[in-house]
Amino acid sequence: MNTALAFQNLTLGYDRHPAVHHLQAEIAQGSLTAVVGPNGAGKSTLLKGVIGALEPLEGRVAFGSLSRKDIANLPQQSDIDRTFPLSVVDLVAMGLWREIGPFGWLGRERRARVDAAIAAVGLTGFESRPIGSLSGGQMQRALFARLLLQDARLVLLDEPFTAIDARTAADLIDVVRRWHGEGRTVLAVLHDVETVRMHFPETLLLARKLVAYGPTEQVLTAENQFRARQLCEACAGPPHVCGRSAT
Amino acid sequence: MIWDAIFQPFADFGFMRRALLGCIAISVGATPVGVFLMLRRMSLTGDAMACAILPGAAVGYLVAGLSLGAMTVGGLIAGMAVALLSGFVSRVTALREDASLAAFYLISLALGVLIISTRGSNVDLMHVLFGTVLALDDAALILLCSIASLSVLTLATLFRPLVLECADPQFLRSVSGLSAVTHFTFLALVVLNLVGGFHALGTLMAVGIMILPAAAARFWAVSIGGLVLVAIVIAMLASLSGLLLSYHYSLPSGPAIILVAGIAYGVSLVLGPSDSLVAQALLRRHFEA
Amino acid sequence: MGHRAGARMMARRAIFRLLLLGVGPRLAGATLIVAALWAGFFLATSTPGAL
Repeated sequence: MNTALAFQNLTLGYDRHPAVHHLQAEIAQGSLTAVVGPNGAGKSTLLKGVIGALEPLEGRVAFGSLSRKDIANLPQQSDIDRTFPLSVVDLVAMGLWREIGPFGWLGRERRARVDAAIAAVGLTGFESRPIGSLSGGQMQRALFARLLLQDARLVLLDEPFTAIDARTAADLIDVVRRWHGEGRTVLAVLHDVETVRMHFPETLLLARKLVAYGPTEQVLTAENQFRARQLCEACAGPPHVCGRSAT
Repeated sequence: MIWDAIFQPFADFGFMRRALLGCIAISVGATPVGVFLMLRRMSLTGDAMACAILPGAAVGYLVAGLSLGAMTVGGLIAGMAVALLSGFVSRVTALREDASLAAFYLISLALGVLIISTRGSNVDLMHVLFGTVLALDDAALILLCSIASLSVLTLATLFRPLVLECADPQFLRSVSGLSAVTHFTFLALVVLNLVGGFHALGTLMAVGIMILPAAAARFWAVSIGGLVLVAIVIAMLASLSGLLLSYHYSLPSGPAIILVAGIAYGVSLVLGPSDSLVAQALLRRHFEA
Repeated sequence: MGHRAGARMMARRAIFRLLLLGVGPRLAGATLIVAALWAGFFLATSTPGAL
């Protein structure tokens, strides 16, 4: 098994207040893994640790065959300014940053790839629309198109299907499955257990510490899920502490 | 007849031509910077920085009187110090800056006025606060044109990272190490243009020519390139008509220019094709029909 | 403004996207503006007039 990413005794937290405890797990290259757990289980915190936005309090994230440059990340609350005068093409084309950088020209060939990515997420015809006029689902489609162009070997998604319509979610799951088929490693934080069961072969169940990790049907048992909930309530402590360390 | 009213002042008087050129230089340099300030919701920061320049320029004035060089250097030092400080604070903490900025610029303004008053006359004070657009000498014009050139060329170079730094900073940080460089270069441009604008229009009015055309352009253009273009055109037209108004009706020119820009903003707010009051009303009727 | 006209305007706008231009054209445009500015400078300062 080729390891894409290894969590080695990883402890992450804010203000010295750990949100993920002593996590030990290896994510195989080319795997499609769902990160599942109750609210405040440290799922988003874990992704922040992977992209390096958060320094580990203890342990480390080791990259096997990959490096940080191979990561494309779609945060849950993207701090994109939706009122900014960008069009869909502008937004999506920035996925090619590694090729065009701050100075390069987009050019016809790359423009064709941008259009293809826009078509792949079903936004053809919206190219010139300002991003401020898009619905939540359309915006998520555009962000997926940008991810497509980033051509990353490791894709991190934080609640990508939350607050969007079912049709869009289905289309975007197809995109994720396509990445899986292309041998990319995908790590997605999800809360909808049904989606996980149907589309994600591997699951990492997190409740501040690792509850279970492996094939989805073995992980998502009623017993494990109950234990995760219990763990989270037990370690959450008084609500004000929980509020501060919630992710 | 009407052409006489428009062209005669510039044909007859060198100081009018110089004033117009100075204002055009400011329009070309400061207005695009203002567009980005507005898009980053940093209009108030611009205000605070303009006032932060005042004590610096005032110290320059204490040392060397009404000297272009000393006041420019003083203003630049004070402005850069504040820009670095505020940039540092906003990057390290996620603190909301509004309140502390407002407090800060009131204090700076008071300090600057106080310093100048200890030595100078009221005329000097007016000079610093409202500029001397009708008395720009060669050195001042060279300064203004150089700042505008530097500003335009820098913006053209760093345009893409700057747009991303405003629109999606998280993404820029994930793909590029240019985020911090872009941020501080931009703040330096703000300070530079404010110091330039300060000589022509004064501390208080320099921010006006930066922010008002940008705010007005929001109601005309939907793309970033269009915004910059419209803002520059509005700033130039405001400069031209403000100067003519001040010439024909003997009004102070700095405030006249800013007032025309303000009127342009008001008109755009009501009548502009994109998202203005009228456009919204029309759209509503369109949906109801 | 009809729907068709709006769509055509958008298509035309799509050709010129400042964000997608390379640094070459961007700097070329900026240089033109700067050149015009300095031309204005010599025009305004060389001709004599009452100051």
